[in-house]
Amino acid sequence: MNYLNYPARMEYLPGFLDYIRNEMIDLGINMEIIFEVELACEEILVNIIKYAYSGKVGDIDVGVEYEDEGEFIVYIIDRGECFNILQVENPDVEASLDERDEGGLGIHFARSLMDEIDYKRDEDKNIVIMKKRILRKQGSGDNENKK
Amino acid sequence: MVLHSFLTVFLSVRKKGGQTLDIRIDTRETGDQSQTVEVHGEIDVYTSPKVKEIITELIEKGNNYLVINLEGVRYIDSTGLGVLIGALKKVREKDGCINLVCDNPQIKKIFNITGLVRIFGIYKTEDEALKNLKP
Repeated sequence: MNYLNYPARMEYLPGFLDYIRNEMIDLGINMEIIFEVELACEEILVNIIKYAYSGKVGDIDVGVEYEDEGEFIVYIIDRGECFNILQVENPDVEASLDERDEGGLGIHFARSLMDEIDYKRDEDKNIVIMKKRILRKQGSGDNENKK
Repeated sequence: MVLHSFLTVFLSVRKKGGQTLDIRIDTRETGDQSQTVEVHGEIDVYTSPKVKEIITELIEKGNNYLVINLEGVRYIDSTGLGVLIGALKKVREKDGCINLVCDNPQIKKIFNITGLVRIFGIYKTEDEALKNLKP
């Protein structure tokens, strides 16, 4: 798999998102799914850019993969501080306005919009694996989301 | 005679897909303490600070009743939602209210998964949102 590598800085965020979006467009994935995957990836990438390297210089690798079973997979890799996304507690979505913060929804967004999110620590790397099913009926063999 | 004020702000923030991404924010007075804010474009990590600045300024000028029309919004991320939550907290401190206009299923899904459908009044049309601006 090829990875796109850019510095972990905000000005490179559009480049990562363009890459992911264009891959999905090339696969004929519908716009509704593209919207959700792009939003989920943006939230994870922004989180890495803001916090992973604690102000130091760092980079991010993004790779995408499409499996015949109908799963679009995004791999987001950084070499910053160990951060297991799976251990982040979900915010209380039933909370009243007074109990809510202005931030803290990003990872919840990503979890809600993707079908599956996994995390691995491999030596110095945080690897986030984000999966989105793009078949409406599993096992039907017909990719209904394709143009 | 009541003079209604209008303000339109254009902002070009970044290149996306090879094109400049623009956001347009129109504000117009709809009553003594009320304004409608119409946003066109994407409310994300890049544009949210500008949206926040404009809404905060309106609230600081005593506009405690706002209708924020999101019909022209194609994309909103968690930073954008944070701006809306912060604005609602500010107006509630003054017994005000913010209603949203949104009929886009993708954007509405975002409000559903975050539970914000229970916090904001969300209406299909601006007229409905204006009629229901209550403390």
